[in-house]
Amino acid sequence: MSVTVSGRPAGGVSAYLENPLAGGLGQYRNIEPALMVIFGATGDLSRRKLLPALYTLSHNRLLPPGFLLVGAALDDLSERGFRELAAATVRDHSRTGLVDEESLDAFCQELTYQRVDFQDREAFVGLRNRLAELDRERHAGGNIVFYCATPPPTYPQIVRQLEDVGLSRSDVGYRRIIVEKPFGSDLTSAMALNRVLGSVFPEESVYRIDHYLGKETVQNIFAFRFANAIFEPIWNTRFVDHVQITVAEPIGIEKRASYYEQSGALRDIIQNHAFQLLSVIAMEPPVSFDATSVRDEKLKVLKAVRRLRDDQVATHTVRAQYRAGMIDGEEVAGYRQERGVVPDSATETFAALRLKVDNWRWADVPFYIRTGKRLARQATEIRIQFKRPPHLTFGQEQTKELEPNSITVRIQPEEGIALRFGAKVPSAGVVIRSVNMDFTYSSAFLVDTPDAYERLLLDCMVGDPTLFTRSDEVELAWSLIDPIEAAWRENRPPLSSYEAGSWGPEEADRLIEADGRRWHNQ
Amino acid sequence: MAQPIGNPPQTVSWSGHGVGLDTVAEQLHRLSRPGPTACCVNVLVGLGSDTDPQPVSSLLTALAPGHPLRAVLVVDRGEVSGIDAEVVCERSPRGPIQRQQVLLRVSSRAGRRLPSLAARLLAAEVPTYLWWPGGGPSLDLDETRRDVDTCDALIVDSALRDDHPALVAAGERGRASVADLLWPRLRPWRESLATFFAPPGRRAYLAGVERLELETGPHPEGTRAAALLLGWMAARLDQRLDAAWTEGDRISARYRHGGGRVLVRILPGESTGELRALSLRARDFELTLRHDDGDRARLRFRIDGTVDQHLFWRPPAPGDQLGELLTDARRDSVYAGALAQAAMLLQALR
Repeated sequence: MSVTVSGRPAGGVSAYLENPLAGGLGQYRNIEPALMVIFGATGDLSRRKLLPALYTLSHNRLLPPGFLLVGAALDDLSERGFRELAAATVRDHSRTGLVDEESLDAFCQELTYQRVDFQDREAFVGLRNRLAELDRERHAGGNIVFYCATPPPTYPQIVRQLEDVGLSRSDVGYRRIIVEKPFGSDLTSAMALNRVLGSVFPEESVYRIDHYLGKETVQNIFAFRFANAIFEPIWNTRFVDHVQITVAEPIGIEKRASYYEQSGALRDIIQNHAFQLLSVIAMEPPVSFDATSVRDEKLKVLKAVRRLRDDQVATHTVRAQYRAGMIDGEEVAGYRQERGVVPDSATETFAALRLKVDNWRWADVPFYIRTGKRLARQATEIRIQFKRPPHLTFGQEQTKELEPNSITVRIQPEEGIALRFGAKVPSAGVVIRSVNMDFTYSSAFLVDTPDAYERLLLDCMVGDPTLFTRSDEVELAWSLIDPIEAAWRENRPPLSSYEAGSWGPEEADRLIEADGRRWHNQ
Repeated sequence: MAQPIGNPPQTVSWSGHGVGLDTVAEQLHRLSRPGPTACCVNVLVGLGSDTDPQPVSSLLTALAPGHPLRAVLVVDRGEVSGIDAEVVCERSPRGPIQRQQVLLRVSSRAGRRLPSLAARLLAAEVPTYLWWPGGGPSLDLDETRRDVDTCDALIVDSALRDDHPALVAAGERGRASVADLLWPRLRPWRESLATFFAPPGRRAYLAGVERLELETGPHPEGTRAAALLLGWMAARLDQRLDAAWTEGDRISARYRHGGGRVLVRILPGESTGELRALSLRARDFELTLRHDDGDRARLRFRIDGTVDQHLFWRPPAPGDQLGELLTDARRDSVYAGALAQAAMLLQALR
């Protein structure tokens, strides 16, 4: 049988400029083959987060063909040894709990190991030669992602070595580098780090991870705000009374005393995670959800944050340290009794700020931000509290239990969104009480959400930096923090204390109560 | 598919003989209380008299953690009048009800207009998928088309159907979109090819492809699967069917694009599965993608030298296929293009 069908001539080479076969499959199905090098591959971050995330991606067939991970660290390990370490660590830390052994075995076949002393140029020459060989074998097209899962002081050294041996640039394929927070410890050091990174890699190849942005629930703030028409009209100074951002943790500093003593709550959480939340909740709608548009709008928020004058720091900020107390029914030591902490440490484990965002949308709306260790419970949330109705139709007595409306965006735990509003209590009379309309992601979708690192690793490979922090964002955030740090060093305000298991020091309550408001501690 | 978390779900159920739909609706309401109910979709399933509802029920049970749903399964029991019903509500370990399922056994006459029978039992404000696992009534019938159009999507398996033009018409003209279980089964093939051509430097080879060969499982399922995959490539690469013919059990076709032509061969085999291998040949490029069994596939390509790679494959399980379709009830333009091209090829071979 033979049939001829008429057809229209079309197409040509131009049809192939974009990948036509990727249509409808999502951007993650259009990832070019790549090699990934993790510096510090045997370290804590790699074992707890990166290897399990890569395994999950591999299991879900999201890693491109030809992908190969090169573990690079100081340890004397064979390829086999590294694969065994990876398998064990994936079994221990896999997000999904159950590990598919066949998938794990296949994933481990895509791992190799290279011992690298970050100070040794020859080690990097060896790495370069090995990568060239692997690139040929794997047809990776010269694409390499370097991941610095190492202490931040090593970043400049690694970056310089990559440049020195010619690994930072390539005529074919891309070279990208991922660095973890903290990005410096103040504006000067952040600028110095950005200078080093910028002198070796173009900005679009530098992926600064603040894993908060990789969290599904943080990304859902974008969806909540910009995919719905009903919230934006009230998202401004006309309707919003104030905004609270809380990042509370019941855990202490665990084994991170040496880092935390240098950092403190302000640098550890406020400068990055809390400011990211502030930017996302306060930004204007971006023109599109591309990296430049989104990051430009986030940057504008930080630009609009009113810098605290030196004389305002004492009245607009609170710093405190936890004393011994009870968490979950168990006694816990005070900060100064933690191993590795000096007995007279002045490092804050709690920080609270009152900020203003000087733009049309947020004029006169205070943003209260607080974070702390050893607080009553884990809670990362943003509460948008609305103004009271202009007139109380039902009278004072009938509405005495009525709170102002609020929208609480819970980042963790129990990720979701709660709308608080007044409802009539069922009875003969008229009594209005506040009730919650509660949405939780887990009850709507009933499945676990992907880990932030899974999303961010893929985004880097696909070349989408939207959820990564740009250099100007980092520097702007530090420029807001530095004046506070400077005043704190002069003990303004004095370091106060709070009992472990509480919601922080009384000074924090007074900070917000002075404005006739109170923290949301439920 | 989503893994159940923690404890197994708790299930409560009710059954009744010779009952009215009011009673069924009341029982559904009663068993769903107290506490919240999660529901993303309605799945309305029509089952023939010789069909066991258990496999569909098991599939929906497995799907519920990722796609909390309300399902109404209607089993045709011939001339026996009245309604026998079973209602099951399953609570997720996380709290909410994740599966509400009603099984109705009704006469052929009552079950003929499935959507109207089940309308009052469906959840409001969520899309409704209509599914006849055995194939269902002809889409050429006005009454079937009207029924389909009261829903948001019609689930089909185009590998088991020979009415592709009717499917195309249903997808183009009707309110309901067509959700094809074969489409997610082809996903590993589509993804592997798309990923291979992700590097911009490789895309030029697509324009130079002169021969395309597909080894399939037995006819007709294998041929239909091949037709949909070919249809996808043709639609994405802006190729148009020029001619199609058969020689014995082999199928050949010629596609035209720009100034070039692609000769296609479909080679049916006896082995299980729908598709076994795909090869592309150009003057300076070759690619073969072969999936024999299990979780691995082999990719061999020649650009300068020859390279062999193993790929994770993991063909989607039936639950995953259905789950993928239930994620989005909207019309998928990529699928629609592929189906239209597949229909053209299969029609040409009739």
